[in-house]
Order: sequence, then C-alpha cells, then structure tokens
Amino acid sequence: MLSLVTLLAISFVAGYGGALLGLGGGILIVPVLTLGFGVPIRVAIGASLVSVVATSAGASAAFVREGFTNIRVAITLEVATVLGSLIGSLITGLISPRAVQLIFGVVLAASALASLRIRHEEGSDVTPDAWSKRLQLGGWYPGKEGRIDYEVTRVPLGMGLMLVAGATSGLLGIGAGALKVAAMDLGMRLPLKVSSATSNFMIGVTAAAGALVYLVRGDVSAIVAGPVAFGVAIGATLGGRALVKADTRRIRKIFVVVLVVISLEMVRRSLLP
Amino acid sequence: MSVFNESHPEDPVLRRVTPLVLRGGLIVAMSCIGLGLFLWVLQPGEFAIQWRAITTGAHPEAFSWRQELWSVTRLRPRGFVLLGLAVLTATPLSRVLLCAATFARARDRLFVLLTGAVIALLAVAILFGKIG
Repeated sequence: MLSLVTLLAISFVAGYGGALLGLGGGILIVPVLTLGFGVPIRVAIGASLVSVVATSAGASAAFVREGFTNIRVAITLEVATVLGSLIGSLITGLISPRAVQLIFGVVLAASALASLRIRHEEGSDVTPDAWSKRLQLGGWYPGKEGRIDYEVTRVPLGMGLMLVAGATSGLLGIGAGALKVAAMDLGMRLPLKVSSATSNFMIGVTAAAGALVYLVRGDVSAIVAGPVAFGVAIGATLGGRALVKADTRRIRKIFVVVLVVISLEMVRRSLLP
Repeated sequence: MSVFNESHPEDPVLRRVTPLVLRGGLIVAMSCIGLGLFLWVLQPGEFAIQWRAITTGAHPEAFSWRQELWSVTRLRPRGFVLLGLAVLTATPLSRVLLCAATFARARDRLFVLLTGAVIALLAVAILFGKIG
C-alpha cells in the first residue's frame, strides 16, 4: 500500500509544482515514473496524458466563464494540435524508448528555462490577416477598466507552430502549454492572458487525442494512471490557487533547477550503452 | 475591430455551458477514480501484484473494456478507475461535440466544418490505437 500512497503523494507534488511553473503536471510525471520507479516510458506517457486532460478541464472551465478564452481561435488551432498529437502518439510507438527519453530530456530542459522568461502584454496595434478576417477570430477580454479589444494575425504561422506543439504533446505525454502560449503570444500576437486561457482550453482536447491512442493501444495502466490523474488534478488545483495568492518566484527557481537536473539525468540514461 | 460577443451568437451559450460540461466530467471522473483508489486500499493484493509487474518493466496486461466496466457492479477497483479514466478522456471530446452543435445552431458553416475536422481526427485516434 506504500506504493499507492507514494504515487499519490508524488503526483500531488508534480501537479502542484507544474501549476506553479505554468507547465502542467505532465512534464514532471514522466521522469519521476521512469527514473524513480522504473515504469516503462510508454506507460508513463499514457498516465501523464490522462493527468493533463484532468488539469486542463479543471483550469479552463473558469477561464471560459470569465471570458478570457477565445473559443473560435481554439477550435481553429485544434485542427492542427489534434493532428500533431496523433502523429506524435504514432511516433512514440515506432521509435525506441531511449530515443523518447532523450527527446524528453531536451524538451524538459528547454521548457524549464523558458518558464523563467519575463512575459509582457501585447499592444493593440495588430492588423488582422485574411484568415483572421475570414474566420472572425478577433475578440475582447475583461480588463480592469472595461473590455480590451484585440485582433489576431499570422494564422498560418500559428497553425504550423500548433502542429509542432501537438506532436510534442502526443510524443512526450505533456500538455506543451509553453509552446502553445508562445505560438499565440509571439506568433499570432494575441494578448498573453488570452493566449494562456486559450492554450489551457486546447490542451485538454490535444491530450485527449493522444490519450485515446494510448488507451486503445493498451499503454494505459489503471494502477499507474488512476493515482497519477487523481494526485495531479488535486495538486494542480491547489498549485493554481497558490500561484494567484503568493509570491512564488523563489519556489519557481527551485523547481526549474530540479527540472534541469532531472532532464540531464534523462539524457544521460538515454545515452548509456 | 470585431466584437466577439455581439457578432457571434454561439458565444454566450458556449461560455455558459462549456464550464458545466468540463467541471461535471471532471467531478464524475475523479469520483470514480477516487472510489477505485479507496477500494484498492481495502483490497490491496491486486494493486501490489500489478505494481510490482509494471515497475519491473512489464507491459500492462491486456483487458476487455466491456468486462472491466461491468466489473464495477462487483465493486472491482480497477473497473472504477478505468471508468473514471474513460469519462475523463471523453470530457474534452464532449466539449468539442457541444461546440459543433452550437455552431450548427448558429448556422456558422465554417466552424461546423472545423469542429467536424477535429471530431474526425479524434475518431482516427481510436483507429490508430487499434492498429497499434
């Protein structure tokens, strides 16, 4: 029974830490399960994808209600992320577990370091492109002094980046939220708050596409995925609340150091003879 | 400058109903998984055996979804956990169906097409899983 309690506790910490970093719990779960417990990487990825669906459903509900999520942008980009997720899930079944571990290590280090970057709000000087006009993607979100209107541009660039984000999600079992936010924030010039909320909304469907492949393929183990989804969902909920209330800069830095160490260990193990 | 709410009649509906679908699915899924975990605490033998197998590198044993989901009537922990995982995975998919229905009601053909493409890709995901 110790293993069940340990698994729940570790998943809770992963969900809490992932929420503080804005990376989601999945990015911590896969290395912990593979390096710490010897769980096969495909089983760890399957469990992680299910936990990503749980955290997305919980977090995105509030953003949709408050009006930060742009549902039209989400639906448009989901065509690319879901396609990417399918491709990523298929690749995981074709390449060696060591290759997956190596890619995971590199993506983990990059995501950890990217989470430290200072973000800024976009200005309103965005001219919509033809795609944005045709799909009517512009919108508004609630600000402190009333509604803030915005426009969307470079939709094909966003679609291309979302294909990569989706493939990363399906391949590694993570939400790839950092990539999605960067694609909308820097690529399509959406305001950061809208990018974060819309990314959260999309992560659930992207991860569910990958999770479906793993579930039907038999790579999801109930004894691993059950406790992981439960622990990560509770940890992410509490971590999200802590993020709003407390100054988490110091704890974020500690988590980043931990993530970089874990990523180096994953790369080292993948290269061992 | 386009106006999201006023020019898109589907928007208020989606903002109101989507959070209910997402939260509702999450609560049902977590309740099933939580109950399964509780039953494992009461009947720890099965968990210990499977955990030992998984942590020594074994692939999860094959199972029949129909049999596992029926096993909840016998209070089998794994059946409850798998039911919860199935509900959890279906939650975002329900949200896509809701979007499709709402866009269809608003006669927004372009977005019916886009949500249809997402649904078709999710169906392909099931096919890919079966092929392996």
